[in-house]
Amino acid sequence: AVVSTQSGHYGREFRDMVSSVGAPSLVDVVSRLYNEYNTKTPQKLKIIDAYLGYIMITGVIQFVYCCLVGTFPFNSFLSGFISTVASFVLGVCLRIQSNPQNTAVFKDITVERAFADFIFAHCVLHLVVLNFIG
Amino acid sequence: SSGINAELPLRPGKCSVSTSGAEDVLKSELSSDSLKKIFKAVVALNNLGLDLGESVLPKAIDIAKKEDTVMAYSLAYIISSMYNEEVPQDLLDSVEDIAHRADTIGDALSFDGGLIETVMFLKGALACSVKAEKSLLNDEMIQKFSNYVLGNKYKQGLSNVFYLLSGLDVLSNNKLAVPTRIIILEDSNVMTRETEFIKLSVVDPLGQSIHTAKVTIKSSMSPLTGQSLFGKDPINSSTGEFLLPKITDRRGIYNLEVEGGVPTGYLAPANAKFPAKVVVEGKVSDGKLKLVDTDDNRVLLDSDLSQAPLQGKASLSTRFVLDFYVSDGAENIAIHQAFVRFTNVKTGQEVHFVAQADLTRKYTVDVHFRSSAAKAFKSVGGEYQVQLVLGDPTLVTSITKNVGSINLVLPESLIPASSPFPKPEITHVFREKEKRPPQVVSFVFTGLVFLPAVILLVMWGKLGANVSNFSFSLASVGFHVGLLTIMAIYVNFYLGVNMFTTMKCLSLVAVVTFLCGNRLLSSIASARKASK
Repeated sequence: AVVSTQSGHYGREFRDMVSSVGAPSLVDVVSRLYNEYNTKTPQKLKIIDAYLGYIMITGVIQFVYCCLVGTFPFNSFLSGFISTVASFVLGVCLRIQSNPQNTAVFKDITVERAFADFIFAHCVLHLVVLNFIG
Repeated sequence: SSGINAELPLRPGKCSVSTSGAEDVLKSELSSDSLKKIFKAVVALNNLGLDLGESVLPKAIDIAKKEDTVMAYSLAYIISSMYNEEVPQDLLDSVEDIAHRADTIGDALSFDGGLIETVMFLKGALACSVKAEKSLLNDEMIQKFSNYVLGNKYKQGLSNVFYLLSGLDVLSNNKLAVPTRIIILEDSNVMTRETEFIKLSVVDPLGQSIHTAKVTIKSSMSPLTGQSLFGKDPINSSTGEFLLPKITDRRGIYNLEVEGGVPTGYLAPANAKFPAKVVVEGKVSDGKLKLVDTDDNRVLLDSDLSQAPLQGKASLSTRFVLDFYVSDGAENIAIHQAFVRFTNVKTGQEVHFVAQADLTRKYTVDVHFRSSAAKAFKSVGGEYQVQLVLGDPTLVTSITKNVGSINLVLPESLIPASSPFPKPEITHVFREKEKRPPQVVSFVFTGLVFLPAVILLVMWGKLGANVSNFSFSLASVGFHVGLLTIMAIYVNFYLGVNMFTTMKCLSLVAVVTFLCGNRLLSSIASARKASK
């Protein structure tokens, strides 16, 4: 009985996948990912994801600018770019720690504590970045 | 009154100083409690030839014993020599004790107080010695004191000169124990072949010759040749003059060891060592100059130096050969320094080449211009004055003989190693500014960077992010205001406030923000837990 439930559980998706012609295409995978993301991700995490996307685009723009016009002054480019990178990392940390699916791993760290760490780290980061930006 | 106090040689007849009233003033000073004043009064009365009255010596001795300084005792000694009575025995005994307070530096003995204290002590001690008719200081001490006083010969200042002469005078004229030394007269230790005598003398500290002294030259050997000026045995002279035996080859440097013998009343001088040298007039003889072109073996110039000054032209292929002998009139000699000097007439540059002597004492200078042009002449051509320079301690004077002039022609390709003219000026080139992109590009990208923020707000709106749960508690307001303040501090920091001020403000605001945030977040957390 267990086996049949399992196969049934996996079987449905497997059948869906197999029902399309041959192996699943990239479009199918992406649309699948998109649907799952929209339905299964809590709102808070989506907010953080939007923020992460914003950070990434900002970093890419800075990098493109540097590629276009050269690295002078190098310290400014570095501080700006590393600011985006570090913000991204902190954002990812916040997302991981506030994901309800991970509460088993982060037993002692509440969401509020994660947020407080996020804010504090950002304060230090921006001080250093502003010092280095020249 | 003893003749030692000759510091004021008053001749009452010629000196028109009025001394009336002086006697009373001076006699009243005799009862002073200051030893210096008593001393000056006694000496003044003595010099003026006035009666000294009752002896103040016991009082002076008491004060000296109480003060127990070298100067105090010295004054007491001098005072004691002014009176006709005998010097008390305890004062005589103290002389040697005080003498032991002096310090020995090298072969000189002196007191801490320097020249003045030492001379005053010597005057006192020798005055008492003369009165007691025996020397109160031992010979070695007197000799060393004398060395010290003589060592101050070149000190400036009237006071120094006065005490120097006082000291030398008392040492030379005490007739009991006069220190002596041996000196050379008239620089007679520099002799030519014609010199007949070396003159030595035994003198007292003032430099006066002691005519009854005897001088002995113990040895007069040259360390280089082993020859002696006067033979191996010591020779004596009672006049201080030593007749030099005629040796044809006496040229050289000799070491004289001399001893002196003196009559009673004088201390024997220390054995002395003097250098002596016999010098000769040197002369360049048989000098020959040859200029040869080495490429085709052509002789450009071949002349002897009697035709000097000579003229010659030289190029890279020329060879310059100068031969000569140095003669002292009787034979060819070897000397310490023999070289040829080329002096550039225009730049003043000097180039030297050392002359080498062979076994027959013929000196040669051999210059190949091809090999020496770059290094020795530094590739600078032109007219050079050529001189022969000879020197030796046994020559009366050094010899500089003008040989002539050589015009050195160097090809243009030879770059002078160091031109006498200033090098081209180097102007500092400042670092070029980095290339910056056109301003338009920079502005476009600045705008582009802000664009994602707009997109983010739109996305958040679509996602349903809102601030409807915002509770206006103190902690909440405080936290958000604190964060905004921190951002404002950062903006200020970017605008130019220095790190110290920033950190100060930041630390204050951070504490407040932290406390508010802590309160706020924990209230949210507890609210969440309660609602679960």
